[in-house]
Amino acid sequence: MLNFLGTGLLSSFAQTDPAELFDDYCADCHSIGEGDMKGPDLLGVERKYNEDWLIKFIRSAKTMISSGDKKAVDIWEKYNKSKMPDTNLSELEIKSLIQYIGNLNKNKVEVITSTPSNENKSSVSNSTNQKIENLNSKIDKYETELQNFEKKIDLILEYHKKSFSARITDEEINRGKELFEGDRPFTNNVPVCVTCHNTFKIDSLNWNPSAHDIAKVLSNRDNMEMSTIIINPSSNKMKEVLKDNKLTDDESFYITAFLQSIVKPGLKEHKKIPIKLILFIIVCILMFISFFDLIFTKIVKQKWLNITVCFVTAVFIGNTIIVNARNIGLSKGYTPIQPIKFSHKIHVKENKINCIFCHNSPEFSIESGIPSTNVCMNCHNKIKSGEMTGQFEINKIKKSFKNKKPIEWIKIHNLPDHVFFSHAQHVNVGKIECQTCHGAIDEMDITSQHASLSMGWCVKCHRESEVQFENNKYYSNHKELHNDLKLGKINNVTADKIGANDCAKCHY
Amino acid sequence: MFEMYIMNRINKIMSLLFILTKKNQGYLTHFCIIILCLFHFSCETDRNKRGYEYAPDMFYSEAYETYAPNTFFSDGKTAQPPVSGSIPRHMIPHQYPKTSEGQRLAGLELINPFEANEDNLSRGKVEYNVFCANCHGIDGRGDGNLYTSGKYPSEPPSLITKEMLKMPDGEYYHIMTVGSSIMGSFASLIRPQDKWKIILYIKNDLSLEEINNIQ
Repeated sequence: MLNFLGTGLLSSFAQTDPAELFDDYCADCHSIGEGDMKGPDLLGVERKYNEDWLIKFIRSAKTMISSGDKKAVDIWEKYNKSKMPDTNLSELEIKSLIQYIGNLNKNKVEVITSTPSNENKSSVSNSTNQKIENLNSKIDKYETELQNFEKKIDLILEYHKKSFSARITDEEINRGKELFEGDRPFTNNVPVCVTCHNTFKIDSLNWNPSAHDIAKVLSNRDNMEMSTIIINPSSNKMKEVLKDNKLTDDESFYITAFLQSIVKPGLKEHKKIPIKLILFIIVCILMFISFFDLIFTKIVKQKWLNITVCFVTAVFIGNTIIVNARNIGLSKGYTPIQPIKFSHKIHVKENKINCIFCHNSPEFSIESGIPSTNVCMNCHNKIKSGEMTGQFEINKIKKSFKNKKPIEWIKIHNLPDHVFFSHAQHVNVGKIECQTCHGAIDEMDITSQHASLSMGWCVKCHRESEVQFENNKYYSNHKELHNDLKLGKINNVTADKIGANDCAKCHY
Repeated sequence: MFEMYIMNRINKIMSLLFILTKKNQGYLTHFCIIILCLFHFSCETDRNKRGYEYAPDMFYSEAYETYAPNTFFSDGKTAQPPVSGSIPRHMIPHQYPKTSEGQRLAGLELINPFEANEDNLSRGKVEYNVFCANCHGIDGRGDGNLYTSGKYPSEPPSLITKEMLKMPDGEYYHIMTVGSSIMGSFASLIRPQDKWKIILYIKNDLSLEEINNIQ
């Protein structure tokens, strides 16, 4: 089945979709046939200017304007002197873009131009008519040849697809696993996949996507497309890794086989032994034995040994029971794996984005709000690859934005349903910083729960935090407290004195 | 990974110790085990689990929470947008399209309902520093942290040039709600009254120098 592989055919399929390029680079300022936005309408742009000029202009409009190109300066002055940002697109990509715009234009332009061409028909002389006919016949010839070629290519592609989508055998999966985990080396000195992409569930943070993440993203394609993507990856990081050393077709096929096999079962887990429980039981038995020996059997002559063992084990058992019982219902230190490896450290500390930019309603609402995807897209429409994660994680936002499917974040700070809590009261009136309850969130790469959120924790803070009592109309009817303050019976007024710790304040 | 490594090491030592206890029946090894137990105590928790709860039926709501998934709606969300065509009280829908023509119309028709007094300006400053300063800079010169640190590729415009100051308030409002070229829409982020206050802050406090220069 695999005899056609090894021809290097897959590596020639690298492609970029011009529609996507247009969305990424042009659609912010330009439309096609829907009127001027910040930049001009691109309807019929490929007729107005020749291709070389367009390529130059798209690459760097600024240098064109500063060098004094007349056409460029005209456009620049017409559209409020707003300069077009430079792009680093290749010549091929720009050509495909221009072609894409031209193709779109054809449908729209035909409607406009069809009327004047009929009127001018009579004025065209016979000689030019003949020339046009000759040209047309030539074009027809070439078109039929082209169509034949396309048919042939389609046939070849179909054959390949069929052979790729045939059932993957266990042997191929095993081979792919060996390649992925480094048990079998790649032929062209390609670094082993498992150095970056873990195949087991891990506790620490790995910025790179795991094997299962990759498999899930690629799983909606067929095997052929998947292996072409593995050979010609779109992300910059992978391009750098595979710059000099390329995978062969066979190897990419084996890896796809392995990836397809782990889509459903997910990542494997290291076997975890319930050490804590086993130890607890052993210590209990130890205590029992030494206690029994101390009183009844008396095999060990040194009494002090038995007594110390009894004492230490009792302390240990008591400690475990108390600590575990106190932690029931509290999830301090809860750090779940989120659908996107979002780092608060990068966004808040390095980029200095205020908390309220994304969680924008703590000042006037019970909830502080989880940002919808359009908030992310305000910046990430242009910032397409992260420092640590590359394009993989940011593409998830893009996908969610396109498909209008929200990202399912996992809630970390969760109060029980029988407790009322309002952010507005604490942030707007109490002027409490986010960090007092949520911890040093600007230091967290993976967000975790800082405070225990127990009732004792709430009550303690209410007892300690002062209220701005004087010069505050809202509390003017607390006459006893005002009197006490004047007489010097109390130094300050804390939140619990004005009813923050009343039962009905939070439980009703 | 490092944690896992340490755990594995300790497990091996533990198993060795158990063998020793069988052979020698010495009490010293028991002490070693106890010390190791205490060491162990802090390591072993699953960060993906919340832990046990006393009364889960009181902990979690029967009704759907705001951000919870919901099977009753076709898009699977509990937080549904208002029915299309309905307008909440106090809300004035923004009807101008994202074109240069729409921007011009908004500039002609929308008028700032707030005065430039101290309260409004200070509120405007707070909101400006949160939402605008990332790109346009704290001084409004287009030198925000996101651009100067090299993360955001395209240069944000300065807000305190002569041309920008001539622009009517309505156009500012239009750009903030709809977006303009690369700048996205801030309709869901800033409340309408705060938008007007930000405009007041930009036009009065922020560009004081520029205004003085013109005069």
